[in-house]
Amino acid sequence: MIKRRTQRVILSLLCLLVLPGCWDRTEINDMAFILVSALDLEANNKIRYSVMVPLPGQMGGASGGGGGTAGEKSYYIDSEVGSTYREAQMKMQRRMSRRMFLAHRRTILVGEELAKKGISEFFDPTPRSPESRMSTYLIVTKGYAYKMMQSNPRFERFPSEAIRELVKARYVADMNFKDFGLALSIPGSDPVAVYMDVTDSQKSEKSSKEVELKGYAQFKRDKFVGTYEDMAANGLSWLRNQHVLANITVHVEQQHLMNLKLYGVKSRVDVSLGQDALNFKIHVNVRAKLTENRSYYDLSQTQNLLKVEQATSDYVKKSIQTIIARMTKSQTDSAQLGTMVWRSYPNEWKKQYEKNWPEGLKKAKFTIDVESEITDTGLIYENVLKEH
Amino acid sequence: MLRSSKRNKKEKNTLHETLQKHDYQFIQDLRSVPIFMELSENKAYLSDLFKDCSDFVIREFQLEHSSNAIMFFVDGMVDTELANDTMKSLMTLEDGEPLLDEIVQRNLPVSQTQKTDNYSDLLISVLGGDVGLIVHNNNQAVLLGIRGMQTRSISEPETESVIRGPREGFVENIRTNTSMLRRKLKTPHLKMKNLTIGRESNTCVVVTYLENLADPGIVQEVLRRLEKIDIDAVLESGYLEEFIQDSSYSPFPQVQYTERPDTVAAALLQGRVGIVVDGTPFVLIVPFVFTEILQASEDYYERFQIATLIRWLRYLFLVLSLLTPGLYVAITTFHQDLLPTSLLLSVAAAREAIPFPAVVEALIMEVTFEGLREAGIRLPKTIGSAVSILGALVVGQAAVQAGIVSAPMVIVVSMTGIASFTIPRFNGAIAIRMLRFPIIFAAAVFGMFGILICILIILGHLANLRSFGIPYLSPIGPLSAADLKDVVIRNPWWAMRERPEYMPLQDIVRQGDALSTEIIMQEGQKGMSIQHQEKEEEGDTES
Repeated sequence: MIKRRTQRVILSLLCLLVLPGCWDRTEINDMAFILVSALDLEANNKIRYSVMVPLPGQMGGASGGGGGTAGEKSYYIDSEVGSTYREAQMKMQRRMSRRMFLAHRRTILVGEELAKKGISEFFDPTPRSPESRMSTYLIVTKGYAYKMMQSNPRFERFPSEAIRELVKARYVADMNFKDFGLALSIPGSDPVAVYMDVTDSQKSEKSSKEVELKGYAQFKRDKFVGTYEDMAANGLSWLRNQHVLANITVHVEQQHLMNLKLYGVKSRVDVSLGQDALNFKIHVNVRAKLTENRSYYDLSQTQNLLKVEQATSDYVKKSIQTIIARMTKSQTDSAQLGTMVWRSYPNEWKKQYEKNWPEGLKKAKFTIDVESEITDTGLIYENVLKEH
Repeated sequence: MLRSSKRNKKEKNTLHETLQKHDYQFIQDLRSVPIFMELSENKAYLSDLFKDCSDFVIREFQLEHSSNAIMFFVDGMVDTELANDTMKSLMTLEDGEPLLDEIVQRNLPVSQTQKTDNYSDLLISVLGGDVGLIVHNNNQAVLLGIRGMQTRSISEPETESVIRGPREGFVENIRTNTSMLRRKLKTPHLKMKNLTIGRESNTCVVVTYLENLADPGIVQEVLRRLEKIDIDAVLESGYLEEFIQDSSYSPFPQVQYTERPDTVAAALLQGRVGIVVDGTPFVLIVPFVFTEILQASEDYYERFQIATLIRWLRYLFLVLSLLTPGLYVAITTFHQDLLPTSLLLSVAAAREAIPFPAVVEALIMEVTFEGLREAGIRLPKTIGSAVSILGALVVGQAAVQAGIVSAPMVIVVSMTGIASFTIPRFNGAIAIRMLRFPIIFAAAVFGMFGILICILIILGHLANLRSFGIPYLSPIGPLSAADLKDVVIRNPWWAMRERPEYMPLQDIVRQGDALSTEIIMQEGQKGMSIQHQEKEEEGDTES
């Protein structure tokens, strides 16, 4: 009898196994993995949604060694216009035999035009789907975003990979979609995003369209207002205490050109309430390596080295001054200084500054104090050909 | 299912009237038949019993003073020269009508003798290789232990070979086997209880244990379970294993078997009980716990660092061999977001031309692999290489090139194969091998969730298992922290002060404290204070 019953239980359990069916089961080859999607603004306030999807069949498998057919791309790009992001995507799905899958999207490109209009609405569809990741990189492109997808970087299999590697590299601050959203939602801060462009490679036999880091895109709330490049971009990273590698060229004694690699820049910003304005004390510690000395400048002499350090400090100070000037001019707080005020003096912030925040920056006093240290000058002090 | 088949009650054969006289089903039934006083009666009875047995020899001879005697034995089981010597000393016997006791004491140059008064014991011994001797006018028979049968000589165990460690393995002869154990443990504490199991085979079974260590309860239980066995023959220790294990339907082995005397000796020293069965080189060891599946005897002979690392490797590979195909199926069909993009794209590219879903692909490969493995075991060695070539070609190369399975799947299968080969105990590896398939199915239906459910079921089952009352997962569950010294790591010998705590032992201390403390204190025995011999001449002065 007992045996009978266990048999019945097992049988019904087996049925349970089959009854739900394999609803979620999707073979890897029934999926189109979106590597990067590009968002652009079209006429009539419509959205152009473009995706890049790899073609596994074109990748030649493991033994092919990169697929013999030269010129044949192992990905394809498709685009559609819709009034919402998902509508555009679904329209595109109608001509794709494989389901678009978002979990492997690592970069979202936003075209300049759309960025100017504001991108906060994009923060709804993305977190809404469990497939898409908040750790995706958000990148603003010069011109149309889909143009960047059409580039053909020579190093990587997919342009998306080249874009991602560049954003991940330590030359810009590591900022993803989530960081952007955070900067938008906390008081006293405006977000920035990585700003990229497509450039032709120069003087090569066959020119290729490479993607290039330009700096940061400056946002006022969710609207793109300008870019920080070169000095301003470096100044921003240093002011925000983000660990980036920077290469700078300085003139020492007006004539000696030096190139330095700044590898350990640490900054601390102290806020204090002044009489009628805020006081920002910015302290920066710079550690640098000397990478090139274009003239025969003798670096074995301590006083010479001190001069190089001074020049470095001046450069860093100037960079930070530049970014502050840019911020106050355009009334954006890309460095999130307001957040520091909010955190340190929440009451004053509420009373005085919250309503029209970046105004407070105008009157604020900045004291910048930079300490530089050149840790090494490489293997030599000076040009090896110099005669003594 | 595996319910024991009903023993056929033999229809009583009434064709031969003579059989009426000794109507018996099994040899044990002859216990009631006494040795007759009249020699001729005995002889007649024996020749009747062994009618048509050409290998049974009955030799009648006369003692010096007209008293008759018979010697009988099975040809080929007895050392003939010794038998001749014995007969010679009996034939020259002088006293008239000697008592059997006197003969045994004075005239039998045989070290092992035994007396019996019934035919059951007599015949069991004689059929086991002893020589039977019945002297006229005695209602007792003497059994002479002058066995001389051909057996395989001791050789290296093929199923458990080691790089470092003894190279001897058990053989089919039970007395050789017990002697090998005795040589390892020269102590009267080593007990060897005799049992005879099997109504037709009358197989000699020896239960061995260390009296001063082993839990008497476990020993009693082993004897009790063995004594209950009522089967016609025991041809291998596997018969007994299935009878005495605690949970019959579990895929996990609850009895260890080994071909190595050192493994048995080590187990006995942990208070376990060994069961030696005549006719097989495989000795059973109970109780058996799960962690022992991953312990090889060589772990204890090789340096402890490598032994520890290799154990970790085995733990890892145990998990791999169980889960890899399931994980492959689950990840490629449910959780594509778990793989790094570039790996996913390689897998997708490799799978592009494959006509089957991942589950079918996994099953094809796993079944092929199991088939290959089985083919390799059964075949003679000369054909074995052909199988491996076929396997490498079919599984490795052709299947991928033909687009039937993808290259990642081949890697998965070979990973599983390698992983399952790293499990030292073959019976443990079998369990893992079998459980792989339900996991593939669960992964195909429920994805990672199914795998998790399977793992939970397996863990629950393992936690529920017991081997002779010892929880199967000990010392991990129930946790006995001190025993982790031989599970998580392999402690060096000087730090293995105590025997396993999870075993009910009479004496837990394994070694004296002095040396082990000294070694721990100064990290070894330092040789700074040795007075080395001064070098006087050239040549070796090393002491």
